[in-house]
Amino acid sequence: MRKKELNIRAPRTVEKKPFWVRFKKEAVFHIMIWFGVAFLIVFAYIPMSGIIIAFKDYNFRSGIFGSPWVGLKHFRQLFQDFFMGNAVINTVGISVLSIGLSYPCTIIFTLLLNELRNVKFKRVIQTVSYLPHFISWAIMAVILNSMLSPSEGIINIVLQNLGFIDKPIAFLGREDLYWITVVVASIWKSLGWNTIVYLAVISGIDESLYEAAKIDGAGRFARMRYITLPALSGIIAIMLILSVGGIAGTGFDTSFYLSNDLNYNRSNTLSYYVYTIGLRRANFSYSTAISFLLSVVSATLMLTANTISNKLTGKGLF
Amino acid sequence: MRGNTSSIKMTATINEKIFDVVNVFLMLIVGFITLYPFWYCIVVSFNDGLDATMAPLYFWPRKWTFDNYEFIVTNERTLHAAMISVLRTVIGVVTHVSFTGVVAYGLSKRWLMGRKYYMMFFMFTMYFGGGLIPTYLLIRALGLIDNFLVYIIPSLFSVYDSILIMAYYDSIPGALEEAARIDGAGHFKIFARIIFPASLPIFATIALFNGVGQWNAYFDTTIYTRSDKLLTLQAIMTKMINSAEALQEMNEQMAASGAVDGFATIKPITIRMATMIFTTVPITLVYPFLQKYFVKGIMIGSVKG
Repeated sequence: MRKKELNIRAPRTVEKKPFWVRFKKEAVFHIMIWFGVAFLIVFAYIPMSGIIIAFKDYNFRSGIFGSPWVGLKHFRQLFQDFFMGNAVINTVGISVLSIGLSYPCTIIFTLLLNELRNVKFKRVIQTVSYLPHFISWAIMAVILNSMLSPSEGIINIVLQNLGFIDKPIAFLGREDLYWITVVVASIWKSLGWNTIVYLAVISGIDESLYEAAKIDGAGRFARMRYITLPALSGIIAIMLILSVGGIAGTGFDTSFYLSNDLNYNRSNTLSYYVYTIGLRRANFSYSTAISFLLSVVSATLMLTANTISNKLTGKGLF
Repeated sequence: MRGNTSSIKMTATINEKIFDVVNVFLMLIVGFITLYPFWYCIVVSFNDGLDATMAPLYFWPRKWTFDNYEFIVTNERTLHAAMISVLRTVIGVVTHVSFTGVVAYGLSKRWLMGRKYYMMFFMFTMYFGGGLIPTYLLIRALGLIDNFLVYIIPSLFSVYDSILIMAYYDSIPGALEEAARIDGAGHFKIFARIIFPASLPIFATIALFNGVGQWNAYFDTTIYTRSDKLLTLQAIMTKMINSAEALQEMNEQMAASGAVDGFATIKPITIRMATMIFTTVPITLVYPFLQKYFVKGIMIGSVKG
């Protein structure tokens, strides 16, 4: 049976035609791809070659090619820069806090959503929970500024009325509260959206597993614990890899809108620092050195996370 | 014996009932926490400006007014920004989806010569990039600074989206294409009449994601434009947040346009909220209708990603 199948398919793949004959037949598709290739050459590969300015002292007058080479000067500077170390701490801190809090929240929320019996109610909650994903960070900033305002923000008023605090807290004006504030805000924004992937996997679980478990006397929690959660482990691993790969770039939007002189020591993240150095202070070469390092670290993190996940769970991205 | 099991069952069902009630209650709390901030902003945007600065508002406007919205829709700057936002979203989405869709169609032919190398060339850009400054220098060299096209051209194509689309093309039965070819349809006709209509769900998904991205984008406006003529709604919002001067400017503008007589008690805070609602409403109206598409699209993404 297998052999027969192979025989039927064989002629198509084995067939060897001269290069030009084959190419002419395929030309339309190659041309389609070339549009993409051309785009990437201009918008991805040319900027990549622009990284050489990290090894030069870029100035506007001489341009990329005319500016003098300085070797590893900017990379050496990087290790002596107080704000660079500070940015590393903030980026890693916010990422770890964010991954540590958002995964449990998302998974619990997914499981609870999945247990809702009323389909209509479930649909409404889902649609509502997607809403914050669609708003921009500019809008987020408006919302946060008004919700967290020490004078009239509802959060402060609720906390005061419940007796947790005596005086209003300026959440965005304090170093020590900056991390947790932006992490909670980000969870608020993405909680519902992040459930989509998990819910889709859950909807693919064989219903008979649940039936069998029910007959064996497994209650709701047992079914969640022994059927739903194991089924989610693969996708959780994949999402974690993606999160780890994104650590280096964490925090641009929040820092762009919420960073101020009062919280700068804790809101100065790497991607924001690249922007401050590069476009606010116009130090192109130094900024590029940092972003080059970030790119390398990102790719390495992604590959490492993938390898670890492959070893531990047998599941990974590639 | 029998009585025993049924009592176990009874407690089980009672427990389940309790769980259900608690669960619904929890979901209502989540729903409230999600919606309240939006509700608050709506309330402020419909409230009188002077009144809003005197005491906090919570669930209902104290002093109703439409002045804030009236100010926005009669303010030339906001209207112009809204037009730019709409233009960049509509043109951006249409060009992005068509360009990416075509490239993905070429890439989806697995038997193509050298496809492996094409894929490597494409995938590499997903893991490594030039970074902020080299990209900025490129945009400048291309003459896209202060040019409307800076919103369109750099986002013509996305490798990630083309992978999503490709995965969807794969799910279309090859027999369909084969049949059309036998009937004498050319490549263009096959794409336009068979592939594109069959892939509408994924195109709707990409269009939504890209549209939201375009509508919400602020960074390109911030760094690639200087004049006011290319300001988008998000950029105006950003200005209102990031600098007190913008609000001052707005006050002066209001005074200059004679608004002081017409809208005696408008304040920046209520204007800001009204602008925010004005900016958010279009997306809020669109996404619930595309929900079933994007749920599917995200799934393809996470499997193929």
